[in-house]
Amino acid sequence: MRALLALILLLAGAPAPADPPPGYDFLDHDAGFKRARAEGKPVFLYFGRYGCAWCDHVNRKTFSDPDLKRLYGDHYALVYVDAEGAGRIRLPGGERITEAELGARLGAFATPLFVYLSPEGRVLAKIPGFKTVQDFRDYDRYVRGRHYEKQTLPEFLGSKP
Amino acid sequence: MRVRAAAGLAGLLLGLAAPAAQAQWQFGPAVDVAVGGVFHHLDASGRRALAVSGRRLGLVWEDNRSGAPRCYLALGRTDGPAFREYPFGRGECFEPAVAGLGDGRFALIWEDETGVNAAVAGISGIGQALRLAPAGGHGSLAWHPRLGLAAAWSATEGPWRRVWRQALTVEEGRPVASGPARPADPWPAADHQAWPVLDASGAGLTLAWEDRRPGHTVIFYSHSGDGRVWTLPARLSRNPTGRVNDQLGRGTGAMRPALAGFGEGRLAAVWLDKRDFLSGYDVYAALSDTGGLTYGPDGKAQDSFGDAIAQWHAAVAGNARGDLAIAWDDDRDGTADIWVTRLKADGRYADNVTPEPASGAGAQTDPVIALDEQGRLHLAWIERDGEGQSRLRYATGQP
Repeated sequence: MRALLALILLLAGAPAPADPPPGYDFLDHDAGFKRARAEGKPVFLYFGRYGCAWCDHVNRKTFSDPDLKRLYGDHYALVYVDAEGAGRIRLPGGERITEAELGARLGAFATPLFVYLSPEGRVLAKIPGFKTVQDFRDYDRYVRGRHYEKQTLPEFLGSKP
Repeated sequence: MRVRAAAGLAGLLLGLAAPAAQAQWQFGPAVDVAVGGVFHHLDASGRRALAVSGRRLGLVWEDNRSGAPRCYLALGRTDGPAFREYPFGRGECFEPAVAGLGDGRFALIWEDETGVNAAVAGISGIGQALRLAPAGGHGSLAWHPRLGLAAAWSATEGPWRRVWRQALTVEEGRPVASGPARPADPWPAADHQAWPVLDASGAGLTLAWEDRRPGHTVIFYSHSGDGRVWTLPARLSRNPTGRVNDQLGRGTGAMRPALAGFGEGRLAAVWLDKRDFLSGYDVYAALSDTGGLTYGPDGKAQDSFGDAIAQWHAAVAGNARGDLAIAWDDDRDGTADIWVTRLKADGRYADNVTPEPASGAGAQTDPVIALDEQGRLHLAWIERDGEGQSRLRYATGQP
């Protein structure tokens, strides 16, 4: 009886899957940076939290767009980091820290947080919160157009390119 | 010690009538504990990397001076800043934690290439290690004068991390397992549990941990008055569970619990809490007047000047005479500094202050704290320069 109750509890309590958007080829931190270096692509780091409502919202409303999925899948190494995660990652400089510690280093005050990085780990842009498909297209043009070399992201967006 | 200007003015006005016992700590200069220019980490589960045992102080950390993460213990005295260093662990070593045994010795727990291990250390060195588990991490220890030593850690079982606890005795300078390790929760694992922390109060032992079974991260706890029978796990943090507009999400987060016994049978639980999800984690605390068996309502331990920004790395320390200190880091003054508050006699938390040696240019983060019976606050932290490499710093706050 106890075993049956335990099984029921186990099945009833089965959690939702982890929180990156479905259908995307998100990798863990180290594998993602390895891919970025191998393929010469920037990193798109999705900093999410287990159970995060706004992550859920952006996954449903924005990342469900098939063209956006193709755009980011083709041109970025996709990395998902759990804001409260215990998993160990290796920073490009060699330091070993946990996923949650990466949040402290990035000043992640809200999730989702989207960070664009060079394969060497340089932060190119950092954007918190819910964003639309068009927002992510604009950020893509900023990053892949290397506008960060001359403009901040607000300057770029304000120039209505 | 700097205090926010407005808070300082209010404190000055109110402090005219404050008893001397409510004074903040006055910190002496900081010293380097270990070789600099490498990556130091103070990331013990529950931030239990600094402990007092009699008149001795034990600090554990991990750094990569050898080219790989290794663990170290520094032993010093509570009345002086000189430390002697001892390496420990086999191969790569992570998340060392320490507990005082009350007689000048310390118990250590860590993760290395052999699994989760524990040992007893004193000025003569580090004794033979006991392997607690062949794999796992997030180790924590607590010593109770009547109940002995207890250990907890997290280890994978199937797809989930699960929290385990183990009663120990100390025999001939080494920890010995007393019975088998048991899961903190008797029900089958159904999601991750991690970052356990143990502590002792006059009433017994308390174990707290992160638990994801509600679909988001919350803090659970269990308590034992005799070291053998533990209460069924109960929820400690009240960060809301449930979906919001349009059935989104599963709840806000709470993470990295820390515990400290203090006074006559009281216990404080502290954690990072994101129920105010727009401004990052806040430092929350709940107090128990039953030694960890039951808790009063939880609430913010930081002052309102920290509300708009994220807090990180919350630590707590208490002593038998009833002092309770909470420390963390945040960048409310523009750079990451260590901030400290204390529990006042009226049950409220004092204005936040930043110890002078742990503030200013650069980043001062990852505090670990311990209170001795004279009321001195021992503080160690990581200082990082712009290049990202670090120094391990220590300072003493006099009451």
